[in-house]
Amino acid sequence: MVDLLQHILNGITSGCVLALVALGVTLVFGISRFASVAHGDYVTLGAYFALVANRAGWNLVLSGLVGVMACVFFGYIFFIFVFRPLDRRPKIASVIGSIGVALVVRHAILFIWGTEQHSYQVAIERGIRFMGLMITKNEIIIVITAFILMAFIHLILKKTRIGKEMRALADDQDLARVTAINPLQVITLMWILALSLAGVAGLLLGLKSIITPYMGWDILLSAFAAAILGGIGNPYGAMAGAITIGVSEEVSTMFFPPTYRLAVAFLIMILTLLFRPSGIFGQKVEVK
Amino acid sequence: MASYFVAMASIAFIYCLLALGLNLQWGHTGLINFGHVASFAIGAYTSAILSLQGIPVVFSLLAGTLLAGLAAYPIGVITIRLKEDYLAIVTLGFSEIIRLICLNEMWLTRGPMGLPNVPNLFSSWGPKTNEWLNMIVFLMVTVCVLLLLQRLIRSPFGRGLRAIQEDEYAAAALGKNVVAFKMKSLIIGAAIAGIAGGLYAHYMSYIVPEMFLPVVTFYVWVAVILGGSGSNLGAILGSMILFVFLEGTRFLGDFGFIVDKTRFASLRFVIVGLGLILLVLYRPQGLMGKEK
Repeated sequence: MVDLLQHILNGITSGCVLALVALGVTLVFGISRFASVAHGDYVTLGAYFALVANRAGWNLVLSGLVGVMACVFFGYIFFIFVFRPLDRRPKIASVIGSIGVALVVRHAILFIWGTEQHSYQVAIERGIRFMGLMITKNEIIIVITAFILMAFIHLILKKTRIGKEMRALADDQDLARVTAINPLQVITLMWILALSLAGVAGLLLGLKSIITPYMGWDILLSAFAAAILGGIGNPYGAMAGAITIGVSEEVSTMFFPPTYRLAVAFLIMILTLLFRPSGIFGQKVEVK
Repeated sequence: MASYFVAMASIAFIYCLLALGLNLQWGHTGLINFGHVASFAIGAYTSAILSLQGIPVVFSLLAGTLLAGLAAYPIGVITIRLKEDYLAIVTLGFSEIIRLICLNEMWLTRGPMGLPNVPNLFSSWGPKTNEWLNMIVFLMVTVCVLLLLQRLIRSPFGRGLRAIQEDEYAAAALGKNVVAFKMKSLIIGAAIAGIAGGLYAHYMSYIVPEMFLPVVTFYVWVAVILGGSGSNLGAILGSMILFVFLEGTRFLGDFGFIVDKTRFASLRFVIVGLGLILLVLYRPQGLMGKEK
């Protein structure tokens, strides 16, 4: 029983990181209408820039900011030069463009930092025990940061004008355009949000385990699974979906080898697409 | 030098086959298959495992081809009715799952240690490998597949595919079974990748899960888009150009122009990625494709 609770707790931690990635994926899909294969590699990019700052002796908060800024900077460049010009073309062009971006980002990281594994310099502390459950200080930081960010996204979407415009644009692009919404402004803000989330996710993922050039790519599929489970394009669905996937992956390690965690995410994704393609938390989204 | 050429040409033909398979799915049908490497892996492992059990190579290759094709069926059932992005995500996931199975099911695939001593195509003729004969067989298979595909796209089936690509709803309204057309295209394309996988396994005589990373899929995509989506000859041309680029620049590394080999390898892929971006932006029809 304690064992199960421990797995659920670990699942919530990894689900929190996953939620930030899935939010990014789902925002891009909701507003720009394509599945970005490059999003995982943005996560990796954030982790490595944070690593550089961390190596220079900066604390984790500042390092994380450096990672976020790098993600936003490079991601914005790709938006301006790749995805914005492709916006008028069939959406498949953007998906293929994102393969190119993914290849460039990942291999640039491999070129600069090599294949070695890294980790942030943080004091190693013993985990905290509570009723037989174990959680480390880093994991508490991860959960709190992720929840603050999710609340922040919620406030932007529900309380600010541009957030409302963003939801309007996600719901019906044509209707939004005729109601004096400036799509470029909204799309730009969406990218900044998605890329910042990727940057923070990179830091948290690196804090949780190790930093490798493939870390973001490896989490991308679970992020897609989470976004689909929650109804792709729906931010709240993505958050709930990510926690569900995180917990399922973690609990599955009690019964199957941990290397098959990804298969659990894949299975959930398949079942969702078979029985409820618009997602379990989804309002109606366009699937066909 | 001659043997180097023969070896390179053999691998290049395998890339051509992969590109032809993807071109049928993507170029002629518009299916975004991001898991092409899964069919390649299924073909390779099936043929390798069966031939290691003593089954003649011809039959093991056939089994690999069939299984690769069949494995695409459930993927099609799940995603063909949905928006194209879902097919992309599901196929990508499928290829990772296939690789995980190859990596973890030790009893079947020996996991990360891989399968050594996979018999050569002509192993029944004696232990000595005839590289030239091998390459000629690869060439013949590639040409056969090319000719069959050319015939296929001019058949009523091919015209149906073209109609679906131009206007899916109009094709459906005219009574074409859109799902069945897409499914056939997906399965035939996967089977072609399965042949490529089998040939690859028997040629390399050693396979490991690391040969079947998702990045292989993306190279094939680059080759197809470079050659021109929808053109079979373009798929071959694109594969050849990509292959010559990758091999040629590896040569530069061998001659010591660059100090660190693995880093140099990543630089090549940065260039491949940039090339793909530029193609999509400025020449989406590739070298031989029709402008849409």
